[in-house]
Amino acid sequence: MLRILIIPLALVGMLLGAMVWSGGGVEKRADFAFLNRGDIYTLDINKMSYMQDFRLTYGIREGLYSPHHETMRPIPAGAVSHDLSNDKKVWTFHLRKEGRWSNGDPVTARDYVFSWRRMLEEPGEYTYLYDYIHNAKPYTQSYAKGEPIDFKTVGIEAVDDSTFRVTLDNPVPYLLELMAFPPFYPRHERSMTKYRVFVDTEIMDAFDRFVQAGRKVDRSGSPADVAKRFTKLAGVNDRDLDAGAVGRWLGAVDGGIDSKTSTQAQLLDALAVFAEMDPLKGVAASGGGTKALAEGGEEAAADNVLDQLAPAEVLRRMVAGRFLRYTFNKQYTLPPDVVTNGPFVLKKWDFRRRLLLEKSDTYWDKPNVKSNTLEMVVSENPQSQLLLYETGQVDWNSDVIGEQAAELKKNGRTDLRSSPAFGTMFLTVMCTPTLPPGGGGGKNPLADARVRQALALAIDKRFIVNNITRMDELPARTYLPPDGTLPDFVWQGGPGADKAAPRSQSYQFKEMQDLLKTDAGLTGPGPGLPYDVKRARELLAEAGYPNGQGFPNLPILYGTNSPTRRDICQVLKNQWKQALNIDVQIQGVEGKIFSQRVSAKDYAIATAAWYGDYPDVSTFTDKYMSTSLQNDSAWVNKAYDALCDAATREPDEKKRIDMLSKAEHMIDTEMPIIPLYHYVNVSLSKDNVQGVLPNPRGITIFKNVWVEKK
Amino acid sequence: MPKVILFRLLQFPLILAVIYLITFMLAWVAPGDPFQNERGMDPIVKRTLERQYHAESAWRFLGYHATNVIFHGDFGPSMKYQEWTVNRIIADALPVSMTLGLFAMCIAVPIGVGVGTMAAVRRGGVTDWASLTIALVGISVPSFVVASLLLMFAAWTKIFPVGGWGTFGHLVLPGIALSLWPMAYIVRLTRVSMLDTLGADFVRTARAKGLGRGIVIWKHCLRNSFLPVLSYIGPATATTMVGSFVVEKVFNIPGLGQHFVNSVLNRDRTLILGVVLVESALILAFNLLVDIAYAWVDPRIDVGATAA
Repeated sequence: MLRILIIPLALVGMLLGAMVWSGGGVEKRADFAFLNRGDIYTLDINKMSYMQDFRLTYGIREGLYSPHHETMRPIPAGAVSHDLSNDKKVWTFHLRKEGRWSNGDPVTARDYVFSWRRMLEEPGEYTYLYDYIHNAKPYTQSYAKGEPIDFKTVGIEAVDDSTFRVTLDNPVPYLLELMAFPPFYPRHERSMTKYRVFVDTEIMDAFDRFVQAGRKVDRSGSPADVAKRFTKLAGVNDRDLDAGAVGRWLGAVDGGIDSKTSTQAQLLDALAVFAEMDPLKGVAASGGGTKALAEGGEEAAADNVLDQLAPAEVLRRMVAGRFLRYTFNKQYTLPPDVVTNGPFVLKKWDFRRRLLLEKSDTYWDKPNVKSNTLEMVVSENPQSQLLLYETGQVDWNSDVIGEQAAELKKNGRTDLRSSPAFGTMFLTVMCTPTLPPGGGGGKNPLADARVRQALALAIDKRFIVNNITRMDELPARTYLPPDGTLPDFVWQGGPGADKAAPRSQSYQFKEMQDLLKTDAGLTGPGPGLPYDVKRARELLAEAGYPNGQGFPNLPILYGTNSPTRRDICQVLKNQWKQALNIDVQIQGVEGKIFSQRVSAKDYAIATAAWYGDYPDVSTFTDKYMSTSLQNDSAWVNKAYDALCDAATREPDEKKRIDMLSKAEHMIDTEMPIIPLYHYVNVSLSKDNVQGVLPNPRGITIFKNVWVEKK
Repeated sequence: MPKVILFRLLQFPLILAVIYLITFMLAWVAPGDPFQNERGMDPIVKRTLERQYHAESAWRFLGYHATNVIFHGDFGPSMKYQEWTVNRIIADALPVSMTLGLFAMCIAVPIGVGVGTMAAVRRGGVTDWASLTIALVGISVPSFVVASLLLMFAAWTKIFPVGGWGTFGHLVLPGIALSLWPMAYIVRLTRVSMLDTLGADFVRTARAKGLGRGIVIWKHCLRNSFLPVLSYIGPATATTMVGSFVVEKVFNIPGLGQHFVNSVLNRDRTLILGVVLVESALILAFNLLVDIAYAWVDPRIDVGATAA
């Protein structure tokens, strides 16, 4: 009978084993614990694109400037001041002398150059922000092809340790706002070198072999004898290396060169000496990996020329062009090795469990950092998020999602806080003459602006915010949200779709907010298009579809990961049927497929959203330039492009805003998109929590966050 | 017997290789790009990423990844969470799920067998009805309902923490939620096979010889009726051990179950391959263990004969 008991015993035994293996244990509660929007995807600045990643980065890193905790306007941080040239194109930043990395090293201009150069050589989703910098884009493109232009010609320069100079092609009035944005933060190269992964492994393996040989070789006797011994040690059998070159190489080795620890600049110097020995003579091009690439014609053309060459030739070009091909293993961002310069240091990161931040001892403004420890708790289930908050395990839930927020609001919760966001929800409408297969194919009725206007005019947006989103969002007449991020911007009131109507006045953001709060404001004159079913019917008839006759049954696409958008599509279907007598079919697809189809422009109408990255109109208007990668509507308007281009070159700030205001107005009336409502940020925070009030761009300045003791 | 085990062990790599290839194929042909987020991507950015992951073409990726898996046991970095290697993700999450799963089985097996046996012995009585109820509830009520109810219970009584991981207290409620389904199965299986055994001739003989009822059930019946249960416990333990998406999500447990679903949603190909292979290996291992346990519990069974 004992034999049967073995089985439960075995189970219990395994359980105990697994418990020991899984670790566990509970840590002391941090001074301030919070739930982020979702789990962190990456803390590597190159690859970062999610709000939660940026949010945490504001806590552990710091740029030249940093958003002020209340106004969100940039204030000096890594820099103390800057000089701007008369043509407003050359910015010279004076770095804070007492700025320190978390390992005690001073923060220098070189750290900025290194980090920025990395953004160009290993481009990510925000590398496009560097396009303003002189020669930055040509450098990125030529580097990707393997023939980089000289980095010295790029407008990024360390004048000395505490002076950093940026040269732009055109004036960028919001440059300081960009400087406060994580893609422009510095990094500490020394702590990252051991995570460096070289692309040209043959060259770097030979390099390492030569370093080893240089360390071991017996230095006695004449230089020729040493060179002979060195040649043997380095594994070169078919010839003798040049004695003079070997001598210089040994000098470099004595200087401590090492592919694991040396910086990029040191390696480049060493590679020049290395190349003098012609170490890779006779090694054939491998090129094996790139053959597979050549299958796709377009890709092959854009491919890296270096991959086809023999290593010796690659090395020659690397030395001549002073560049290295490498990437970083992203583990460099993990504690304990990560070195940062912000108010907090990342102490612990348990994947999908928690991140622990501790006040940095080396931060220049340490006395003003208000909490000692922060903890980001990871939970992606709204129900358990709420319970974590209710039971006091977290002090702040940074982003409460739609359904739950509406429910809490109905219960009259006073700790539910919301504020307008710098983002708009809209429909993106395909503007090509023929529809893509995913949009049903055939002639595209949406290519006619009148049809797009009719669709927009027929939507009762108030109904959507009152019945679906329910968080007092403002119904949208325009693309750009009137959230207050852009106090100087002016929305143009317009004739809109009704050319006969009188041109109304212009609106500032406060007036816009007031306008959108009332029903009369939505149906009457104002920027963009009103809710006007009668006019919608007329326009549809003018376009050739009287009473909706002959209008194709178009699909309207949404991602099934968002129930809110499904409900919105349902409402639109009903409203368009009632107002215009046209049918649309609602098409829900899985999230990844949705984003792929939208960016491949394979749809007719799709739900979409846009949040501004930095506080300037161009973060919205750039999206619909015909050359933009983000122009999902395939809308091409020469006048629009010309306005945006001219605004980029315009040194006068008032004139520039005016041009962009005209451009924005074109989107609101020509309708490559149909704006539905402006987002709000909703969070839950206890009354004793200070410094986390919601703001349009969802930025949190953790330095200023603390929990008052009751 | 050792020969059979050796033979089975030699089969493992072959089976895993087939699973790897099929998973790779499915992960590769699934529409959607692992590197694509909501915004449009610069072709240079995309190419840089593909180069880093050796994912320019299916063959290149397969060649590179398979070589690393076979020779270094390295699944490479996750395509979505680029700081983390698949090996590290699994090494962090698997013990959590294993602890939880084994804990659930430690609840399910004794209670399931006990209740099932009682139900068979007192057939038609209150215990039998109770067992039927447990089985019905366990099988038909979805685990997210049970888990959510238990979570409410936790929030209301404040005896147990509301999700998370770290102490024994964190284990109890999700363990119960996870145990209901296998428990219900075990109850039914035990009851049926126990009824069979109770009607067998040798049981009547033993009783006729004057042995007490308890002894007969404990010594003679249980061992016989345990066999079908045992063949269920093996795979059930393997599947509960690799985690449940639903229970982990509700209780916010950093286990492996979430990665099954999320890796597919993210088209995180390296992570998909990693979790699928780990689960497959576990199921293979537990099936083998069950076969060995069979012979152990019931010497009449010749494992060599069944395998050959």
